Amino acid sequence: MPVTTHVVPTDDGWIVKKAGGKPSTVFPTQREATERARHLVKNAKVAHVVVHDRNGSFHTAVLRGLPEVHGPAVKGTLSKKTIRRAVGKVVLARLMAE
Amino acid sequence: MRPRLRPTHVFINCPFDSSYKPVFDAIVFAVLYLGFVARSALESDDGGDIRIKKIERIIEQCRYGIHDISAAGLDPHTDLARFNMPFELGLFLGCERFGDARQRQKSCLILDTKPYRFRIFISDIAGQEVKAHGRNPERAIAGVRDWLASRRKGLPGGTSVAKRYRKFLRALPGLCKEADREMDKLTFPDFVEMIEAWLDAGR
Repeated sequence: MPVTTHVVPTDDGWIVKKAGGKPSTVFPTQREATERARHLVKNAKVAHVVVHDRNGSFHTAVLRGLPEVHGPAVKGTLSKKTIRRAVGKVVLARLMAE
Repeated sequence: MRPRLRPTHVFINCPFDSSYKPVFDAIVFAVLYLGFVARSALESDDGGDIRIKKIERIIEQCRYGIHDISAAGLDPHTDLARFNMPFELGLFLGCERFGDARQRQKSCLILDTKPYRFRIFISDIAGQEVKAHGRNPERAIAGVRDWLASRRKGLPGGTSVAKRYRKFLRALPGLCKEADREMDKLTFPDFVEMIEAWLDAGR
């Protein structure tokens, strides 16, 4: 069962969606959609809310009951930004296809 | 100044040959998923860094160590034994035994292909925690998860780590394509960064 609740940009605004779940109604702003996502998970012992931006990047808004994941101790050859954008695009494409 | 012991760092002392890579990658994923920092001699290719110095520094910084001795047999090309993994295991155990109070907090897991095989060639490690993975990545994940869960409460179960790892493997070609990098050219830090980003983006 997927844990993460995503806040996702659309042409009309912002929606809240879980992998394999139905999208919420459209919110006019990212902030309102994020508030809705926070509200949905407020009583969950394990919760993860990820907010996607229109440029492919993303950030974590809620992380509860899950270990924080740590990056490498030394820098790689690819920039963190490049990797996070690539991951954000792939995850978002997959989420919207489900 | 001496590097301090980092309580979440895990030194992964494993073979680097391609036949072992599926197990190595699975161990790295499990370590990260469970909230620890994966360290390896592969993490830096600084030409000015003498290899043993780099390994000593990583060992000194890591509270935990995962040592896979499954490749300690004869090299088919040279007919000589491969000593690197047992040697680095010895360094780690030496730190744990003879180091200062912090170094004595160290803890290690030893992995091999079959249970009790180590008794034939390195019986002196009897009494350490040794688990067999049979070169199966998911068994390696379960072994690493159970060992770390005995040291930190509230970690996700082995099945959920393995399930998530299978999903990551399915996504990896797309991630590499999007990052414009061939899968087999990913460096260890890039691979770690990719796992971190992917887990940050959804669990």
